[in-house]
Amino acid sequence: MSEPYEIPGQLNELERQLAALSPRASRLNRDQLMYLAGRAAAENDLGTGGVAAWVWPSATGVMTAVSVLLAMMLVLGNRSGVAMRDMPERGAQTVRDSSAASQDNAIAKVNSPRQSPIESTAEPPAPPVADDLPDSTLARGGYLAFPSVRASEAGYIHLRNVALRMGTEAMGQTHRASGGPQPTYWELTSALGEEPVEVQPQTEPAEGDPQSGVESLPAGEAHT
Amino acid sequence: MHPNELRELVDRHAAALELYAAQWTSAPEDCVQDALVQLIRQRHQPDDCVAWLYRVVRNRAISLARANQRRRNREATVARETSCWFEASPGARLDAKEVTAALSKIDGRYREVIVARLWGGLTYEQIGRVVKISTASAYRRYVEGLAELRDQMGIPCPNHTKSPAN
Repeated sequence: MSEPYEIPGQLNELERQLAALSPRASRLNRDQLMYLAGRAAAENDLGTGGVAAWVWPSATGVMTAVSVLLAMMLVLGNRSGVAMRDMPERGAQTVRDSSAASQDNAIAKVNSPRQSPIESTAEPPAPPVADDLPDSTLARGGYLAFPSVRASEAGYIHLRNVALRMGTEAMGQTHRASGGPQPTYWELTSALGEEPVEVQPQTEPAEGDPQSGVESLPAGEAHT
Repeated sequence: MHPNELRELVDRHAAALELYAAQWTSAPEDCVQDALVQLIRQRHQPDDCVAWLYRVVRNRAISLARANQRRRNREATVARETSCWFEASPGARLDAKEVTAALSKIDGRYREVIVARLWGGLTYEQIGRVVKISTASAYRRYVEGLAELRDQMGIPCPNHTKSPAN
């Protein structure tokens, strides 16, 4: 393409003389240049350096954020669970009432299997709670959430402490949160690893006497 | 870009590109190398590779000069650090060192146009795109730069030498 611009005549000679000079030889390192060029071409083929270069870092960042969030939820969830067990309204003020209530519940549950055989056949007794639970739950010491499945002595002591401190209502709520029936004496004793004591009162209890089954219970079992 | 194309670009334009970058920086080969690698990275090759290279080299050289805080004394620094920009050839009527010194003394706006036009082989239109000026401005700077260079080299103007004789 010819250009319409002409150099003034007095500068033509100078332009020709300058053009006769050749620039200094290039000091480029050709080997290094070819290596860098090949690397750049390979990176282009792999998709790095463009949008694809942000895929893995972004995915890693998102997964890290999710992991941190889940860990925080786990920690905060455990803390809130402890706080619920130590609620002040379930503290020492109601210890005595709760203890009495637990005795009543135990007595009622001891009496319940033999009060009405027809009802027991119509509504079969619930299987022991320990059979319902997976082994992993037992292995990690789930007696706080399921107080009746701990068979060791320490579990029994802890269960008794929980009952004295918070009452059986709290145990019942956590134990049967799904709305199932309350654990019976048979369930509790079988969960403790002991053979259930056959309760055979010698005399027929008088009607309206709630204390009738207490005498047949072994010492200490009424608290459960 | 095929390796042969890159090799051809280096053979034909690397020296002129280094000369062009040497106006601003004492490490022009680094600027040229970076520009060539950047050209390889381009997913779509520019329409005018040569003009694109000149523009990238110019930007990199200026950025490097700014980073080294040499822009204030650019002419003095370049003149001191650069021994000679041209090969000494026996057939040339001009002295290479003299031309280098004269080029380093003229206005930078003229110098870059002269280098790009004379030794880079760019058209006025390409120079205008590289420097971001119009084609007419590129031509005007070229002519004025040559006149200033002639004055710096002490070459008498033909019209002036002839006028007293006339």
